[in-house]
This record gives sequence, structure tokens and C-alpha cells, in this order.
Amino acid sequence: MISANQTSATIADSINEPEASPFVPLPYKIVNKHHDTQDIATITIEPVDKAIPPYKSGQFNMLTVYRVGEIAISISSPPTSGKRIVHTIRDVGAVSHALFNLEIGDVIGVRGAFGTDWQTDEPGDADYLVVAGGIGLAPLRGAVVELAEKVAARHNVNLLIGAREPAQMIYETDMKRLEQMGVKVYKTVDMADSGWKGSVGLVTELIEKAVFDPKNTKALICGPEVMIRFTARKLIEFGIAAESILVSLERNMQCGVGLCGHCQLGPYLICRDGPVFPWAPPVKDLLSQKER
Amino acid sequence: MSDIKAILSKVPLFKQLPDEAVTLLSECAEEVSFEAETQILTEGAMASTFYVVKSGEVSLQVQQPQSIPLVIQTINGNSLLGLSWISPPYQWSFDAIALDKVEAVEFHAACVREKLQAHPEYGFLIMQSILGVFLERLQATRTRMLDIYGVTKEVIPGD
Ligand SMILES: Cc1cc2nc3c(=O)[nH]c(=O)nc-3n(C[C@H](O)[C@H](O)[C@H](O)COP(=O)(O)OP(=O)(O)OC[C@H]3O[C@@H](n4cnc5c(N)ncnc54)[C@H](O)[C@@H]3O)c2cc1C
Ligand code: FES
Repeated sequence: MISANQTSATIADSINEPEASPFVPLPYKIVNKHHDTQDIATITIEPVDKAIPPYKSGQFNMLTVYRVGEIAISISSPPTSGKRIVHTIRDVGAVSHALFNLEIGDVIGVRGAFGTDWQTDEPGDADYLVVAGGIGLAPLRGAVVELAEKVAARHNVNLLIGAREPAQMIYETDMKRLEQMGVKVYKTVDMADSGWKGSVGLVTELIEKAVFDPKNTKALICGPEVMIRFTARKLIEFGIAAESILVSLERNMQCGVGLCGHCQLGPYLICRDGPVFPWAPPVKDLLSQKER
Repeated sequence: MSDIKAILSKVPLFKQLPDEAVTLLSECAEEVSFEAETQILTEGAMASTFYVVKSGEVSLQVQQPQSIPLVIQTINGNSLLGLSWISPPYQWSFDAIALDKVEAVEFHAACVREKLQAHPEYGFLIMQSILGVFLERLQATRTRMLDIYGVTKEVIPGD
């Protein structure tokens, strides 16, 4: 759509400009990079020329490292952050390793934004429990910032984070800012020495500490699937309705747009129908079954 | 209703118990508090008490030679602190340190054991509640051992 305050030059540009193809990566330059842990880095990118369309928290992009390959990576910035996009990458294999090792000034390809979202653009009047395990905090970061801005002044916004050990906690500098904005942050690790002043135990054990009204609480969960299952069950024990729980799932992806079938989970294609799903059958049941 | 009984009947762990069972427990219990950094339990010492933590957080630790202690688990609101009082040799396996100010209900273990034996009909129900804590901790420990935050190895059929 053309708005009234566009100049004739920009109108001409937008008429000539084809719709961004979901198959063609747009070049983006790395403008900031930060090492969160030994194997996790966060990059900020901005378009060299054209930008991908606006996105919502919970969606993902397909990132290309030229001459190496392309992988799905969640968007970790809130939709309000303009054309700059934040991605957090864990070095696990060929493409993520190449991404992890890029430097400020390097250019990557970006396709997106794809998939379903956390629905935090219209968060409603409710308490929130955001539960993240390990790198699972990356797909939730944008949503937590949105909830801090839109909800924390009126309702409880709890962020429960689990990690293997203190050195594996990501976004440490964000946490102070989120707490100042009214988000209650609780952390736990699987193992620590007595130098660690947070909790030690499963992330589900933090639910007892959080402040929320189970009858009016929405929960967002992302992390390893074992952790998602245990957390969703525990939240239901605490009285949260299954339909108020959203979870984000991962599968290997190739096209990202529902064509290749690589990301199939039962009747769903995760790139198109997910990655964010309500905790309801059949997703809930599929997560408890061995995949064939 | 005594103060202590009123407190116990609100603890989720004892919520399912009949009134008589809570009365038995309350006869062996009193309210206590610990300042931050107080050592509540000591590895190897007699397990003559146990606690329900009402508020604050307690760290279960194990000492290691020439290094700072490792934390096994932290225990917070409404949880049971101390399980070794249940069976011989009634000795603590870990140290327990208050991380902040802790408000708790302290139980005298010998008194509780006597009541459970004298009233097996309630003793069974009380032990069933406590067994629930054992189960939950066992499952949590097993899950932590899985290293679920590690990199998943893709299983390729035929490999
Ligand atoms: C919707 C979606 C969002 C994602 N968001 C992020 C994100 O924000 N940050 C991020 O770092 N990753 C994210 N991932 C995972 C990322 O896509 C994979 O880590 C990546 O595809 C691995 O490719 P590779 O070439 O580096 O490694 P490969 O060579 O493909 O794999 C190397 C090893 O890592 C294992 N592995 C692959 N994927 C994962 C995984 N997700 N978790 C644990 N182990 C894995 C493989 O089984 C294999 O053993 C997301 C995935 C999806 C589907
Ligand atoms: S990645 Fe191709 S269908 Fe989902």
C-alpha cells in the first residue's frame, strides 16, 4: 500500500520493486556481535539494501552463510526494533559454526520472517509465565521485551530460566534491564558450586517461586522437548489451562515455507504451522511419542 | 486449632492428609527461623530434625577437598528439607546452608517416628506424602543427569 506522505521517488521505487521473494536471501550486514558463552554468540544485522517484511516475536529467519549453507534461526529482537534484527546462534555444526565465527562487517543472506508467533503483539490482560531452557531463551527474547513494555506495569510477568551451569546463561546484561522494567526473573542451573547464588534444580522447580494467578495466566515455553513436556505438565498441575500454554518446537528445515516436507511432525509442517503451537493434541501427544 | 497446625494444613505436601494426621505432626513441630548463611544441617551429623521451608531458600551442598563446595540442589518455599531421618543410620548426607533468611517448621524426628508407628493408619498416609517428595526429587535428579541442554545427536537409521 502507498501512504500519503511518500515522495514521488519512493512511490516510483515501490511500484518497480517486486515483492520480496521468500526464496531469495536478502543481504544483511553484521553490525554488532557479542559472545554470550563459549559456544553461543549474538549478532545484530541490518539490511544492505532491502529489508525483509515486518515480523512478530517467535518467528524465525533462514540465514545463509555464503558458500556454506542455510539454517533456521529464531528472531531474538522485538518487532519494535526497526530494521535491525538480533539473532543468537549456538555453534553445533557446519552452518552454525560458520555463523558463529563471522565478524562485524561480514554479510549474510536472510529469508523470512517465517512461521507462527507468541501472540505477544496483543498480549491481553493476563499474568505471564515465560519458561526458557538453554538456548530456548533466544526465540523468547523478543516476546519478553514486548511483555515488559506492554504488560509488566499491570500484571505479573515471570521469566523462568534453566541452564546447564551458570556459564551457560545467556543475555545476562538484558536481565537487569528487564527487572527494572518489572519482569520477575528467576534462574536455575543443573549444576553449580557454592559461588552461584541462584537456584540449583529443574526449571519446573522455579514455578513455585513465581507470582501468578493460574486462572488468568498465559505461558510460553521454549527449550529442549523433554523440558517442554515436563514444564507443560507441571503448569497444568499448578492450575494453568492447557489452552493458555504455547510451546515452540524445532525440526531440521530446508525451504522454510512448507514445500519440502523436511520439518514434518505428524500432520504438521513446523515451518508453516509452527514453530509456536498451542499445548493441545495432537502436538502434545506427538511430543511424547518416538518419531519414526 | 493450634498455630502450628494451621500452618501445616496449608502446606501443599500435607494438604491431602486427614485432620488427625496433621494433628499428630503438629505435636512434634515448632516454628523456627535461620539467618542467611546459617548452617542448618551438617554432613555426617545425627538426623534428629527435619523441616518444611516456608520462605527463603536453602542450599544442599557437598564439600570437596581443596575446592569450594558443590551445590546438589536448592530448596525453597513449601518444600521438605531433610529426608535422612526416615531410616537408619539417621545421618545427614549433605550440608544445608540458608541462602537468605529462612522461615521454617522444625520437626523432631524421633517424636514423628514414634507417632507414625503408634498410629499406622495415619503413618501410612504421612509416609505416602513424603514418598511423593522422594519421587519428585529422584525424577528431577534423573532429568538433570540427562544433560537436556546439550547438543542432541541426530540418530541416522542404520548407524
Ligand atoms: C524454527 C527454528 C528456530 C531455531 N532457532 C535457533 C536459534 O535461535 N539459535 C540457534 O542456535 N539454533 C536455532 N535453531 C536450530 C538450528 O537451526 C540448528 O542448530 C541448525 O540447523 C544446525 O545446523 P548446522 O549445519 O550448524 O549443524 P548440523 O550439521 O545440521 O548439526 C550438527 C549437530 O547438531 C545437532 N543439532 C542440530 N540442530 C540442533 C538443535 N536445534 N539443538 C541441538 N542440537 C542440534 C545435530 O543433531 C547434529 O548432531 C532453530 C531451529 C528451528 C527449526
Ligand atoms: S522446511 Fe520445507 S516444509 Fe518445512
